Amino acid sequence: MKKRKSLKSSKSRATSSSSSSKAKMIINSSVLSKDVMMDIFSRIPTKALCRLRCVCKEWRSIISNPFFKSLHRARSSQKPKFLFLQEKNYHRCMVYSISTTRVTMLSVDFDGTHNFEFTFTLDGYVNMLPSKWELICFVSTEGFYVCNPSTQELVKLPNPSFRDVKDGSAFGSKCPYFLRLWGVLIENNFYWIGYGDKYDDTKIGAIVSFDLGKEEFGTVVLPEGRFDSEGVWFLVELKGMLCLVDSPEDLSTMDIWVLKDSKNYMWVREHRLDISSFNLIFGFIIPLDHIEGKILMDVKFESLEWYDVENKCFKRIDNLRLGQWSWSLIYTDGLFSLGS
Amino acid sequence: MAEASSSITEKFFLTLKSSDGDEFVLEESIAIQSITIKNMVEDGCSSSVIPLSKVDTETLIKVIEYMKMHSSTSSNEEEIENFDKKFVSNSINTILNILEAANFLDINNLLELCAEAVANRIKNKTPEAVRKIFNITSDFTPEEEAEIRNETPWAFEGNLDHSLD
Repeated sequence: MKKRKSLKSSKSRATSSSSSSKAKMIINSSVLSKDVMMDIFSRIPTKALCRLRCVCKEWRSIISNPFFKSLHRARSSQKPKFLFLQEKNYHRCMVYSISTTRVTMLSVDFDGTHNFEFTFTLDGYVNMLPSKWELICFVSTEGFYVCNPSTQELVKLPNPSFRDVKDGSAFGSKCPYFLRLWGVLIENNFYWIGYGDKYDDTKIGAIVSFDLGKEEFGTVVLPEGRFDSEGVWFLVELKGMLCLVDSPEDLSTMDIWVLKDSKNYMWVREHRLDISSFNLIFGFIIPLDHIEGKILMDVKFESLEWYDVENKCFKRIDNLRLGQWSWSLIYTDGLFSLGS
Repeated sequence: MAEASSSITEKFFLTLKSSDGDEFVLEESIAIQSITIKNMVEDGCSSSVIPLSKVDTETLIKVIEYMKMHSSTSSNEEEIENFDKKFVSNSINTILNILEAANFLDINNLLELCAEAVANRIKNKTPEAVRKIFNITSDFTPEEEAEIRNETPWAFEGNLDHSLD
């Protein structure tokens, strides 16, 4: 057994061992510091935090602390969850075509655990807009809505001066294309499929981008070569990259084109999937996420399947049992407040 | 550090002293999983006994057990996984004590493991059960508490866990 000699003055010892002078809380006669509490709370879903707020004033204050919220957000984004939305439209009066839409949101963990379910009702027909992280956006015939499903907050945005989101006027700038409602948000840019002709949505005109920072529209050059512009299904984001999904008329295969280099518009057809075993006349296969060599697919709004890239095979997630849904997405649990 | 090269051939030992006065001799290579101890060693402050005034004997034994398992070259991934699983099945009060010790000693893996375990244990519990576990007396008036509950009534619905462990 051998021991070290002290090389430095004993002063350095004091600095290295006295670093834990933090706010203290008495717990079972031991002391649990505030940053340990924050660390624990950052791992707890929002719904439970809403409940734990009423334990005591100190806990409420930690949970509403902005620094804590950002810690919680960072932690939650490592552990995304599924959100399934079911939408049902009810006619109240046929004559004036007044209707309401009930939207039910169901949150499920990747391991199949159900987190919560909640339902709200909006006037008119409802569509989901490109949404990411904590917030889900909707447009109805009555206006625009933002919802944080984790806190069940739903806010109607001030009435806009425009009626049609498809002509891009929602963004206050002139857009030369008509947009398909469904788009994707990647970093600071929205992308939509755009058409030159409002009444012909078979032939894609361009991929339209909108830079949220500069508030400018742009276009993305389409893939070249064996790319079928009439077979385009939609745009998705996988691993932070813009992807275009298309399929030939016979629906035998599905191609995923990845925009590898957004400055030089370098597209690569990264995946060609055999989808002939699926009956897709009334549905789609939508890639949701790409994790560790597997692509998660929403199949016809009724099941989720993992596509193994290397072995080129699908494997269904069995324990969902939800019935049909209208939209599915991956979202982040979070405390973001809409100030309602 | 300049002297680190000499530790390749020789084993160094450190003595850790709990708040109850018990001393534990531990190989330095195992103990320096604690960044706090590592800093002390590097600053040359480890020549005598290292007093851990915030860690009692019971907790220190658990922490040393953990550090031994996680540094041993013979234990494989599966062994470690099983050890961790068993480790977090300790009572919630024990885990809270270990958690605080892990924070003080700056052992990140242990902190993560225990924080996750506590989070999992309390996330489905009622506020009443959580208060008992953490020995907290509510400082809200009944009216104030009712108001908070009313802000998110849905958070109090469903099957909640009333147990104290």
